[in-house]
Amino acid sequence: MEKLIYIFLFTLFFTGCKKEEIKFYSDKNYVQFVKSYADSTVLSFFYYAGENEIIIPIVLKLIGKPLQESGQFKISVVDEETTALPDYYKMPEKTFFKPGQYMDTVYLTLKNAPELRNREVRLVIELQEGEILYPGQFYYSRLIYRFSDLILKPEWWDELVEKSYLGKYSEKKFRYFMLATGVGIIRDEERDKLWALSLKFKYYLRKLKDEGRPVIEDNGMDMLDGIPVLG
Amino acid sequence: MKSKIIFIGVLNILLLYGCLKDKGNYDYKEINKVKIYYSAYTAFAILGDAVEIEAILRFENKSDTTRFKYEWNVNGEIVSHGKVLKYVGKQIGSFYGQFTVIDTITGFRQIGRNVMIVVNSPYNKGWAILSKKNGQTEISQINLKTQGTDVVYYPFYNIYKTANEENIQGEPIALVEHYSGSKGPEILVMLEGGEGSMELDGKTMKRTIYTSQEFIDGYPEDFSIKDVSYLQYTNVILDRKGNIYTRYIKKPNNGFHQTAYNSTPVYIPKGMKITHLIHSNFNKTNHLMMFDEKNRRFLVMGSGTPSHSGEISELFYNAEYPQNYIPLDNTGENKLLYASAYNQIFGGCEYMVIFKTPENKYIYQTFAVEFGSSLKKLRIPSKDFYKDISEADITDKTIFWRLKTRNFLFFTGGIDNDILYYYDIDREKIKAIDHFEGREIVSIHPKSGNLEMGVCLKDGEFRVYDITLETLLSDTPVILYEESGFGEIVHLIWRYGNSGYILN
Repeated sequence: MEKLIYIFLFTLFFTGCKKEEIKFYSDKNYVQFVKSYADSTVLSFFYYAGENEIIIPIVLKLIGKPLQESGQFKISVVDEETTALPDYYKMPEKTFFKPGQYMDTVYLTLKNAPELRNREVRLVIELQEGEILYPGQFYYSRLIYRFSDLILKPEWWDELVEKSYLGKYSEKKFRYFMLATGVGIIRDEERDKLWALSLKFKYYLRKLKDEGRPVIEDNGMDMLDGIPVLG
Repeated sequence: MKSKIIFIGVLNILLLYGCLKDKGNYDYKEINKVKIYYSAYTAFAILGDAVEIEAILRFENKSDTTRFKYEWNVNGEIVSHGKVLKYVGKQIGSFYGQFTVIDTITGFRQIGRNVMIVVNSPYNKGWAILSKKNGQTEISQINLKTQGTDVVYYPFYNIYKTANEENIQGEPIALVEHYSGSKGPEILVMLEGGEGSMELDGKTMKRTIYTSQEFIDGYPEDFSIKDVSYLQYTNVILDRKGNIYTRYIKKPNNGFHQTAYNSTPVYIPKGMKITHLIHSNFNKTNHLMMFDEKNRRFLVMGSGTPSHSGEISELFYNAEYPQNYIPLDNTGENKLLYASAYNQIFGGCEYMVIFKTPENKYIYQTFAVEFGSSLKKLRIPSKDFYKDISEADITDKTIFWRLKTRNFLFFTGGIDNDILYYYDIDREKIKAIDHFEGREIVSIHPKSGNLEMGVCLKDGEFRVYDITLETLLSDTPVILYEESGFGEIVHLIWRYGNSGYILN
């Protein structure tokens, strides 16, 4: 009996040495978009002067352990919510998540078409179950793209730009801005260029005015008078 | 039974611990207290030079001072075991020193209060010379030190190479010392060829950035630097084509290189071709004056506050110009030779300009500008606003310098540009100070305070002239210092050291 007690106590000392397998999200591997379904992407071919195709990177995130080998997943179009014709886009060709990493990128191509000059269309895509990869959270399994060739107020033309650089937005002003600078898209990391671009635009308008061709807004105002950037 | 024996055994061992003899030393020793004083509590040194601070000790028991040893530590590192600290600063900055008295018998340490050692750059102030020697562009500096009533000059040759362990690439054009808010100074070395112009840290003389790296979209095509102006919120670069490029400095105290220059030149109505940036103490005057040769007009750029910095407007006079006065908004065929600010006050300054007329006359004119966020006013003084100085020995090579705080214009003349003159504006008198007999003067610049004038000759000689009124009125020039061996000198500046004295 006494021997049995010693053996029991001895065994207890070694229970702390047991290897615990930490479980991830579940035993399955999931893949999802980094961007949320609620955060739709709006773009216009107008911003991409001369481009008929825009290649959009779609960043994906793996939930679970890194893959040992490439894992296939699927992205499909949600037909009932999509108004873009199949000719307006090209779905990502490669839908394999690379092994040994948590992030990967696939590319969607949006194509310009004459119809897009008059209206905006919508493309909704979603992740589908693959052989070993499954769609993750619902809000990160769908993406919405609204695109056109319309002249829309760009997102970067915000309150600060209106107050300190370019003044109130107008479609005509934006057209001339693009003509003067060759720039329609300003990403967040490029905002320090706003000052120089705004001045370039202002100098352009001044030259036109000196040449006797002042640019007048539709409300009859000299466009130059509405550009607050100093210099 | 067995477990009872083990229990009693362990208990016995614990109880026997109390029988051990304590051999510790609990004797009290008397401490000889000491008060520690210093020969200086703040000491200033020039980088590379030794500074001395002596620890002065007052022991409570004066008969018992031999059992002590000493330690000086600077920034936590023991640097000396004597009472006198001899510290050679190897880095620019402020360092803390502390003296400790250690009792060798007890090990008791008595520590004095901190002293501060400020190590300054040898290049803070002085004359800086840009030259070319043995085919290499060099920067040299002459520092001044007061010893009793004497001023001693110390030349440092080729300081860029000393600091950077490399030669300057490119042909020398000019030096500009400048400041940004509380930062600085920096020195722009204007160069042609090589990597182009570059900025140096004014204290260490180490290169900070090439100007070519400072444009948003790279160097403008065929860019060749002519002049620069570092205003508080806007920096301006002028090229030889007459274009100006600007950058906006949002937070001047954060330094110069927080934003890049716009690669697109400034365009204002009617265009422009700038030939002169007319520098003033922008901290006071709130503006930068420029001359636009294309439209023969003066332009003024705001600089005092972020809300109007960089804005350029034409200088208009809203009254009738005096008779013969060359209008500032249409200078006609008259060529602007020189322009300078003077009498700088907060919110404005006066300007003098020299025009060469088509009839080869030299006309001296003055005007004043008041400049604020909502005020831009041009005023013509009631007297001395127009003088014909055609009698002056002015040539195409003439170099001018109008003192900012005294009514004297210094200039060079002669066929070989080898005569130094001054024009006493109040007395309307021109007088030669010195004649160098064929040796060309290439650059002149006054020392801060405007009582000494530095003069550089092309053949590598540098002189400092006494230009006090007494000396100017006498017939004999007084040379305070002369030094040669700089090679072929191109440009001379006085380094003010901080923005408080700039262009005073």
